[in-house]
Amino acid sequence: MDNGASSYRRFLDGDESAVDEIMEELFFPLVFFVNRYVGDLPAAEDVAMEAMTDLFVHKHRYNFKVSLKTYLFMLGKSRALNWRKRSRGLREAELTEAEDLSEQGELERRALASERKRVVNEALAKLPEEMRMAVHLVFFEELSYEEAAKIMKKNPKQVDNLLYRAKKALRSILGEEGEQLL
Amino acid sequence: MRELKDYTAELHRRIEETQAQQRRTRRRIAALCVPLVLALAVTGAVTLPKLARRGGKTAEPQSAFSQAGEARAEGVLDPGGAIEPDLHPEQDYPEGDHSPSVMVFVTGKNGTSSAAMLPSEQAAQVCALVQSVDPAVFDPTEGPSDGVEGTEVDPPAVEEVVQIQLSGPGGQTAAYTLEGMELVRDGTGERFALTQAQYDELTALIGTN
Repeated sequence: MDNGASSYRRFLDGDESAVDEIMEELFFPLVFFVNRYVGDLPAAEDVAMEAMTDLFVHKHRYNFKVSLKTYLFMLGKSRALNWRKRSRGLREAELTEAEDLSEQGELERRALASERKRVVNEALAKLPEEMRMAVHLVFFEELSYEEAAKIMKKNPKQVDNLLYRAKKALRSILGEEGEQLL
Repeated sequence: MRELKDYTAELHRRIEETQAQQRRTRRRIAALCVPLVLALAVTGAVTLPKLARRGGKTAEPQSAFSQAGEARAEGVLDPGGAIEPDLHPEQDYPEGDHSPSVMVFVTGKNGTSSAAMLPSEQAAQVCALVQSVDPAVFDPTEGPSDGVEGTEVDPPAVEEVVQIQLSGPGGQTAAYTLEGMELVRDGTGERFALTQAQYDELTALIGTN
C-alpha cells in the first residue's frame, strides 16, 4: 500500500495534480484523526490544512523512511497538540448541538466506509485517549503496529497492549460482539 | 463540511501564501544583511592594515628589549623558525678590550623570532649577572663550575625560547638558553640555576618579563 508516496514523488518532480490526489486520499482521514485530539471539527480542519500545507511547502523534510500517511499523521498530531496547548482555556462560540452532530456525522460518513467502523467509533469516545488513538490508527486507518507506534511515539509492543486493553473495554461497552468488531 | 474541491482550493491558496511569505522574509533578511556586510567590509579594510603593522612589533614598548629591537635589531621576522643574526660575535669583534655586548634571540611559541642587541649599560649588567652565576662565562680555560644554588621556586610558564649571546670585555663569547629558572650554556650543556631575584633582574634587563 503506497499511502501517497508515489504521488508525492510526482509532486516533487513538478506534477501539481499530485496534490489533488493526496488530498483526496488523505485529507478527511487526517481531519478525523486530528479531531480525536482537538474535539472541535472546524479546528481539526484548520489543523489538518496546516499539516497539509507544511507537507507541500517544506518539500524535502519527508524522507520516505515511513509511509506518507504515517508522516502526515505525525505532522497532524504535532500540530493538534500545539493547538490544544494554545487554546486551553479559550473557547470560541460553540455550535449548537444539532449542528455539531450534523458536522460530526458528515465527517464520519466521509471517513468511515463501513458500518462496522461506525459502531466502533461511537464506542471509542468512552475509552482513554491513548487507547482511542491506537484503535483509530490500526483499526480505522489500517496502519501497521510499527507505523502507529511511530505516530504515537511508542513501541509496537505498547501499541499491542493498548489494543488488547481496548478490545476488553469495548467488550464491556458493546457486549460480546464489540470485541469481535476489532 | 465543505466539498473536497473547496479544501483543495484552499490548500493551493495557503501554499502560495506561505511561499510568498518565505520569499518576502528572505528579501527582508537580504536587505538587512547587505548593509551589514558592507559595513564589515569597510571596517575590515580600515583596521586590518593597522593590525598588520602592529603585528610586527614586540609586546612591551618600554622594555629594553623592544627599544633595542627598534633601534638596532639585526634579524628579521621569520615565521618559519629561529633565525640567524647577521652579527657573529666571534667574527666581528676583534680580540682585545671592548665593551661587553649582549644579543638576545627570542623564538616564540608560534615560531616567530626576533633578535635585538642590548644597550651597552644593560649588556654590562647582564654580563655581570651571568658571571655571578657562571664565573667561567668568559674564561674558556676554566672547567665547569657548579651553578649557583638558589631557593626552590616554581618557574613561570615558559612560552618562548630565549637565547642570550654574550660577548665579554676580552672578546670572549658565550651563549646561554634560558630554560625556566636556569641558564643552560650552549656547547657544554651546563645548567646554572637562578634565584628568583636573579631571574627577575635578567628578564627585566633583556625585556622578556
